[in-house]
Amino acid sequence: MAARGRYRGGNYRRRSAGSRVILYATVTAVALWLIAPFAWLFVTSISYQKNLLARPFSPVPPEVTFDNYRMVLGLVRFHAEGQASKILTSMWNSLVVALVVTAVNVVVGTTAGYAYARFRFPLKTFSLFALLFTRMLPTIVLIPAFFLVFRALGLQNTLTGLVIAYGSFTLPFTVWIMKAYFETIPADLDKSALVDGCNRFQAYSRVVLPVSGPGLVAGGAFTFMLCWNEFVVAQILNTRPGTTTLPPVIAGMNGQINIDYSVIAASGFLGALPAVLLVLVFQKYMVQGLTAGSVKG
Amino acid sequence: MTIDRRTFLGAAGLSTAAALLGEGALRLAHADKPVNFSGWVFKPDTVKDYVDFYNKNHGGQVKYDAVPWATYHPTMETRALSGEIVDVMYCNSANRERWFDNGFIRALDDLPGMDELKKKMAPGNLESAKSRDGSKVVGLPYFTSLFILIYNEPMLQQAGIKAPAKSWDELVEHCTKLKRDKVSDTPYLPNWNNSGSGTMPQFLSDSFSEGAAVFDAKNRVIADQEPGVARAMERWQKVYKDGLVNPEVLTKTSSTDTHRLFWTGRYAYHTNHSYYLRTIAGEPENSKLAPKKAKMAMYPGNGTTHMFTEWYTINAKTKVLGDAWKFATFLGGNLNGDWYVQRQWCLIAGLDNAYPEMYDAPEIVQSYDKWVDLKLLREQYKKGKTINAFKEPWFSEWDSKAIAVVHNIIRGTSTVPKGLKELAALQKSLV
Amino acid sequence: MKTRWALSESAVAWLFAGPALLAIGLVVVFPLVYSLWLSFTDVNLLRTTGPAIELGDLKIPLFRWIGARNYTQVLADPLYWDSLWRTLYFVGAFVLEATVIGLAMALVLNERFPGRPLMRSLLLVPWSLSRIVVGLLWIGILDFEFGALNGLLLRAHVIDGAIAFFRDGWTALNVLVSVYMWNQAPFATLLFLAGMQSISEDLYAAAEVDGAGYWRRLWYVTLPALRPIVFLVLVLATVNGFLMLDLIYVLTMGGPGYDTTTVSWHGFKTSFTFFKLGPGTAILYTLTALCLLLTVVYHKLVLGRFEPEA
Repeated sequence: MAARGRYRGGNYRRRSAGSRVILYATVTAVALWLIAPFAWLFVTSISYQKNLLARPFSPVPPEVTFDNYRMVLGLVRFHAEGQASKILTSMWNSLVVALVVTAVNVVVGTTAGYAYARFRFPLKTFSLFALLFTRMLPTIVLIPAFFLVFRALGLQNTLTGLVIAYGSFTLPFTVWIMKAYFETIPADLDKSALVDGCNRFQAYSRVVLPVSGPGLVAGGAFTFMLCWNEFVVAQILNTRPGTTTLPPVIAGMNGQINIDYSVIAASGFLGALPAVLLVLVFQKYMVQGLTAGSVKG
Repeated sequence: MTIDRRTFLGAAGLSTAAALLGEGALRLAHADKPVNFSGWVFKPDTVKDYVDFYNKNHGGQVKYDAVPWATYHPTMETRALSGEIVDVMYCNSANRERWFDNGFIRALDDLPGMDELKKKMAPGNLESAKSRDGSKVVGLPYFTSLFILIYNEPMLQQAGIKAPAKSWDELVEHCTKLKRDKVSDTPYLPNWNNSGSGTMPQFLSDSFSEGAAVFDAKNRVIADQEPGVARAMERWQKVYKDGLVNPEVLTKTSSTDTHRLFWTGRYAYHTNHSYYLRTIAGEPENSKLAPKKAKMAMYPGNGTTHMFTEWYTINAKTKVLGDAWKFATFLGGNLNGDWYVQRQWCLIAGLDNAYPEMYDAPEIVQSYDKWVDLKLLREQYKKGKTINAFKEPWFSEWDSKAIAVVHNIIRGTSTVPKGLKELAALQKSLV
Repeated sequence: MKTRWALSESAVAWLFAGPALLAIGLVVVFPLVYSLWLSFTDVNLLRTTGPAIELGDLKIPLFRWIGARNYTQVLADPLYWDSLWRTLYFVGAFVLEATVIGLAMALVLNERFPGRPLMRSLLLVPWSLSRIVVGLLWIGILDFEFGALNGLLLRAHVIDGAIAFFRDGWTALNVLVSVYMWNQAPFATLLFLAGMQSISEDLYAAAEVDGAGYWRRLWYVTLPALRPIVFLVLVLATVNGFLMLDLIYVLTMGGPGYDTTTVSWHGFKTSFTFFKLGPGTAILYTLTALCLLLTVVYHKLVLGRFEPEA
């Protein structure tokens, strides 16, 4: 393997002024493109709806208010509080489901990923192909089955049902990500552990896992994000008010014209916050974990 | 281990969540058992007030939740199919027979007080309340309304138009003039939204006003054979092509959403359910055309429009029939001889109802003055035409899928004859 | 000694992978098979009696076999084919936009400039949002009455009247493509960046010595090295494009008319709005077949060629 020189993006100091200006301009454009829409969501959430409707348009809100957040969090009474009261409940439901599914994924998916990365065993290629297929499956085709089976089991409108259903689109991803990640950890590490007298499981837990931090974080954060953001399954399976997660509640508020957009924006921003924070904090690990194995050095 | 919502909420100790649960728990013991009640979103704050009033004064334990109008009926069906029992539910005409045929809702004839209520209903409404074979009453009336023509008086006057249009041709002329004179970009606002209360009822109204019937005596679609319908559709195509209509109307998800456009004062003519005039002309805090700058005129053509009623229904699987029925009569009848909800809806939102005797009260008559010429409205009601086809089992699916067909006609994607034939073919394919 | 290890290896492997595979078997394979079965029956959700699989207390209804009738019904409906062409257009446009914009962003972020680490954090923000929130925030920008874009354009006197972005099927569909691209392109950028950073600097140095400017370096060094990533991005984007539902729900509900109805939306509505689970699952299964085809293509073309199996 040739020594990997990393392309450092050209010699920055050697750039002409003109070239630098172009670079700054494009960078600013990209930054605006990425962030401005989301920032606007926040701005609308702290504005009064009547100011949003006013013409001429003003990018800076003339009045700032946190009333929308107070309404959404149930701290202030307002006319549509019946709709808004579901938000906290649904955030809690989202949190529970996401945490449980993430825990299951990290435990079960990681060991499976390790097996695929390290071992040879019968049916490995076939099951890998099947795993790939399940990653590319439209989850919605599974929902009629879940609907009927959960009805028979009494799991409709429960969080347990959602946890089970969510496994269907998170587990294949986690196994795949962890497999790719473990493949970037040299097998010599395991081998030396085995030589030292560990069995396979000890080699895994005592030697490989401790250095797999980034991969575990990536897998966990990614799973959490998938669960937190999921809409269709929760919308269909948990229809009883108070039993569903946050995205269906936000989508439901969006359909009610007696609620101002600024209020819905507040709930949307709150709903987005955990995932955004997750991504900002764990960006490095997530990038490493998600792109590992997609590139061969 | 089942994850029980109650356990988690209790353990979490979230104050709002506790308040949700505590709604019933904080009260003293009541005679009534908890009743679940759902309706689509129309002034849910007002409905919540009714529920609170009922719980306080009639010893009820009603829990109310509002569901977005655009997905109301499918959502309620999903909830029913997943085993949830909502005891009292709104239901519109288009879906009511299907719910009854499929055993979601029950007949009401055997319930105490139903016979008296039947006697107090206007005959037309009573007919609509009955099932297809006419033998059972399946819902209590929530409200009755019909399509009316609303015009923006200041705008017409500004353009030198002295009186609102009496014929459809005149209306199109006025709108063309207003657009040419740059008084309004899109002066005509028909209720072409894509929900069940929009395009198709508007289609019926305009067809009726051209002297056409849409269904025959056997409730088959004959829109493709009626020249009046073709005339109406050709006019719809023309006004859209000439840019007299704001294209966004086609994407609005409710009639409530559509009528709010008229508040801005930037439109000249609007056709919608009668009670929306109450907000347009009677609520200055919302509408620029209040007080009474927007007025009602008789519907163009021969003046006939589509009249309809929406319903309260009782879940066939309810386990609290007595208490649910008591609450339903509070909403849709006169519990303890008091037409409380009917009166409130009329005063607050201008909703008409099926019980003529309620209109004897002078305060009711007076309240109309705030937003409409009551005599004119009563005259329009005399020309209100109902349909019977909504009782057919195929109707709700036809009604829902027809919207796209009619929108294609409007936008010129389909020719008028082809589109109307499609409507007839659609019905045949669903029978 | 060797034989002992080889035997144990398989057994250990199954112990490691077993739980996950079992779980996937239960929550993916079983529902997949059951849904397939449903697509060949006349599903009537109101019927509680009839043939069923009984496992103790659990009764899983089987309904009546009607062969391929659901499929023929579905495939005879012109709406199905309309939505299929529409889906192909949507996916094509989306894949193109996401790949191009993703690559463009990657090229920019590959350069060095002050604040680069911050930019790379910001990059993931659009991707981290639920598609419901994505739709919601774009409504705040594109709405006819209170949208920021219309407001800005009106104020700058670029337009006379507000633009109705969702009034017309064609515009609405393209708006959907762009909004979805805004949400997904960052992930493509991530993959491209990872690829770019493993390109040896020597190659660039050699190109520079040969007098190649920025664009020639891009064309002759960067892009060829990124080919496997491009393939990966293409396949992922295609699959995501086929599956997209949430954005349609919050932005257009498949309208105006049927103009933004894709195959997955058509399947969703048929299954859960009119509760015709038979035809609905049939529609969704045709979609699944497409995805299976894609998996095979990816497996053969990409994995076989670029990633030798361990």
